[in-house]
Amino acid sequence: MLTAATRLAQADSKLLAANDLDVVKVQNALGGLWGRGADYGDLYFETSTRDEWALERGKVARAVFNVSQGVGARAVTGDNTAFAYASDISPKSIEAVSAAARSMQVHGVDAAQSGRGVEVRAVPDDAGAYATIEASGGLDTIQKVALLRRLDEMARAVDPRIVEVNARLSVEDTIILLAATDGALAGDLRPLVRLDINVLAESNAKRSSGSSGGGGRFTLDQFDAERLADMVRKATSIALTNLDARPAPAGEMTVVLGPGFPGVLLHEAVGHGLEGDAHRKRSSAFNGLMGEQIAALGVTVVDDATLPGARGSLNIDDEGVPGQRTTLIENGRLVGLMQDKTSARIMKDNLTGNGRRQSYAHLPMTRMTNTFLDGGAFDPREIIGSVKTGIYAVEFSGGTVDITSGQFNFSAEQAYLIEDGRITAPLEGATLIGVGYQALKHISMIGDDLALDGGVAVCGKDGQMVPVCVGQPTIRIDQMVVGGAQG
Amino acid sequence: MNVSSLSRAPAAEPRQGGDGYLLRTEADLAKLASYAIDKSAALGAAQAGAIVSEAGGINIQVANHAVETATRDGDQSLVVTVHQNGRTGSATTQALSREAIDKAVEQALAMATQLEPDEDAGLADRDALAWATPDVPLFAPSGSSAADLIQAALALEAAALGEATGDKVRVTQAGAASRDSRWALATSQGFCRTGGASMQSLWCQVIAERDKAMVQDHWMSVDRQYKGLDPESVVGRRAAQRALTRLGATTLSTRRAPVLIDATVAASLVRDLCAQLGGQAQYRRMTFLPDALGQTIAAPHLSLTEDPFEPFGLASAAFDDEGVAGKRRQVVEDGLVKGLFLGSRMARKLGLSSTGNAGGMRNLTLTSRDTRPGDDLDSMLRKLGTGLWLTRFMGGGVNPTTGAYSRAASGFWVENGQVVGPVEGFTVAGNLQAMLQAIIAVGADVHRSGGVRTGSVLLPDLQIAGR
Repeated sequence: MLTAATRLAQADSKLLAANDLDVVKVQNALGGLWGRGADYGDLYFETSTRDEWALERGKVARAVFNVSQGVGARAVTGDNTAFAYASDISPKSIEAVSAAARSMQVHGVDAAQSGRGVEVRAVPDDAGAYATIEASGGLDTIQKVALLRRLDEMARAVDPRIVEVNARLSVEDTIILLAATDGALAGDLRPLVRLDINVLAESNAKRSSGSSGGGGRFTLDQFDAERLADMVRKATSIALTNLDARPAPAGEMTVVLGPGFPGVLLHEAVGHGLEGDAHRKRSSAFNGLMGEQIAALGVTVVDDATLPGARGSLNIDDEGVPGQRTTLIENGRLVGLMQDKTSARIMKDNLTGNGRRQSYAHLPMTRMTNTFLDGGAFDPREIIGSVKTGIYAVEFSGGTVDITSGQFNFSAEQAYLIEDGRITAPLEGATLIGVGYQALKHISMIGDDLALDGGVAVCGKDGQMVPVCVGQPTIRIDQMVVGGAQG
Repeated sequence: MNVSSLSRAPAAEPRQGGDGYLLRTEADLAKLASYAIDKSAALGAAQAGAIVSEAGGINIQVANHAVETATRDGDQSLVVTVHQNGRTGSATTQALSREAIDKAVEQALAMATQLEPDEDAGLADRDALAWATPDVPLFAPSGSSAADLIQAALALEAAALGEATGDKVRVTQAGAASRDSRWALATSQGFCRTGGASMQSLWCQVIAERDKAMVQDHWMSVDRQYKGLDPESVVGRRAAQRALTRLGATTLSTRRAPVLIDATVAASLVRDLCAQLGGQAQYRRMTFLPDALGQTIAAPHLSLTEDPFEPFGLASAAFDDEGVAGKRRQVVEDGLVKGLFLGSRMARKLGLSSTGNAGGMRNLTLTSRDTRPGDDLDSMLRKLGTGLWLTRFMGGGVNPTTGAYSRAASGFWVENGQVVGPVEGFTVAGNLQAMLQAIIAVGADVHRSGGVRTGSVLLPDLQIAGR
């Protein structure tokens, strides 16, 4: 049975029992951490193995195997957090990190004076979004090398103009266990696989590249022929179409965004601005707008950690809260924020399971999981057909946002001109910019083809990187600024 | 983090000017690296290299006159790479017990047996190793306690808040951090060298508010030595001023215009240039300038120098990740490419020698032979005449194979050398290859951003897309 209890038992065996620890010892350490009048404290145990394989010019001659493990101790008083960590898990290390975290606290009375006991209990249910499995799915080194070589052969077979193929495979297993002074005790086993391909096309001295990737919380053997073919088709089509690309236009125009990864728009324009910590610190442009119409009718935005096998899914977040589905915007109205424990406590809001950290050596923050714009009613062809002059952007390389002003930008990797409702010339160098709350109001058509990105997105915030998913159907946005080089 | 160092209470610790953040000495680390090499040899590796490192420090962030986070940092790791019959395997471990190191070596060897051979992989050539080059001073522990850093961070916040005018200023985060690190590198050729480095940082993030409009900006000071930092008052004030001057920004209509890229952000252009000259980009031909050596990459008045040995330089290194020392050299001279950034493997693939850049580029300086000492910011704005003074880049970037360049940006509109007002909500676009060759001037207003020094950069013409 793949229940929360099974996962906790396995995490306990790998992280506690294997290191001469048990729940009682962890409770004692938590009791010490809770000194000086802290509101909350937790111990986060983690072990992670990752192997990465690189195919370069037809050969898999490089690989790296990485093991990391450690424990982080945190004590929170109001919005003051003291934190220490050790890359070693042992009875001595949890005492030491707890003492260090306690000593970094600058308020309150001495631990000895409070000395509260802590009793933790297993969190009964989790999201059940992925199985308790190992990411390699039983594939050995030879099979991993073969997978990359197959991708190489498939890409080269597409077109003689494909002159270079580089690919990478990453296979990761992370086991975590969290015990907190609020009584939470939870464990999770998180598989994560990722495959990326990058190709170079060359024709008459013009050169262009294209990339694609896929992955998620599933096993490697699920990269079947169909999935590989899809990745190869995407990467080679980007490279080949871009051979004929001309500089993108510059100025304000209508933009149609394709399904899947273009959901990075929502992630940047809206997602980061709806993270609880940005509201606690009043640094978000969406601050104080709860309940208001902030987007066009029909716009529904959801953060959902429970999607089966998705890259951003979490059975349990890094603070021991079960992953869940949170509606952020419903039919254009702001209805919810994502929260971590600290921000939720201070803002007196509900927990949403969005407390995430890059590793045991990093502090949890409010972070997204799988965030997407929900599907609408329009046929994608109808959306493109409705545009007199504009651009159709299919794939993006990424984006950034300034949550305070709401200004965001993102860069197209594959884009086309739309003329009289038809897709015409391929374009290069199109950066799209806008202001979140304005762009949301300018979404005029929403397609019925909701899709998540292939499973390659990495979200960075305050220097911490976490895996996420983005998604959306085909959408039409009016009055966006397209930043090409052609005036 | 090293466990036994944690039993001390950093907040109560007096300044000790020494090893407060680290547990292991360079000799300890050298022993661990040598152990990994010996173990690799014992298990049959023909060649092996190991790097062991430890880093530790304190990081304080304050907001609303109180500590928001206080973190005791500490990391350690060992990376071992083995070569066997032209095959390479590599493994990393954060645990440094003999048992953990043994396991890492076994993993690396197991990997090596199953990968495809690459004759160009392998240790750096013996003669290229930095057997006797001088050390570069980089280690300057501040000995700052948590209390010292809290005081510094609160001073930053106070300085920023003191700048409030009719417009409000809020500090979302003011921070101070001090961190030391040490490492050892050993190879099966009998090479073993160690080093240490420190890093001090002050930073301040500010929101300026007018009516309902909010603008955020930040400023920071980073140096290896405590005495090299700008005073807290300067950093805090600068952060607030940067945000305040951007209040009331207007947008720009779509147009072409000359652009002066401010010295504080011009390093990105230098990094974009250098990215074309990396070993991977050259070997994979993922650049608009393959076979770059000897080709024109920038305007003929421009040169780019690299200095790995600058005392306390932010990108200095006595030797690189493979034990090879770099050189003080011209990477670009009079607009022509004179050197690439190579480690041993990529160097062999390209039929060249390592430039000591395994692990990155060293301290870089962009210069123009036309720059005069009086070419300060005001003078550069006069040279700009009427156009965009670009002070902030957001996302976007360069397509390396075509050079297509497009980035979101903000700054100030300038007419006849006089600043008219802040502008935002636009992109600048062009082609990087053409832009680098079109650079008109580099200012004497040199700013150091990480390992890159450059003055402001004047471009004759970019496409601006706005509303």
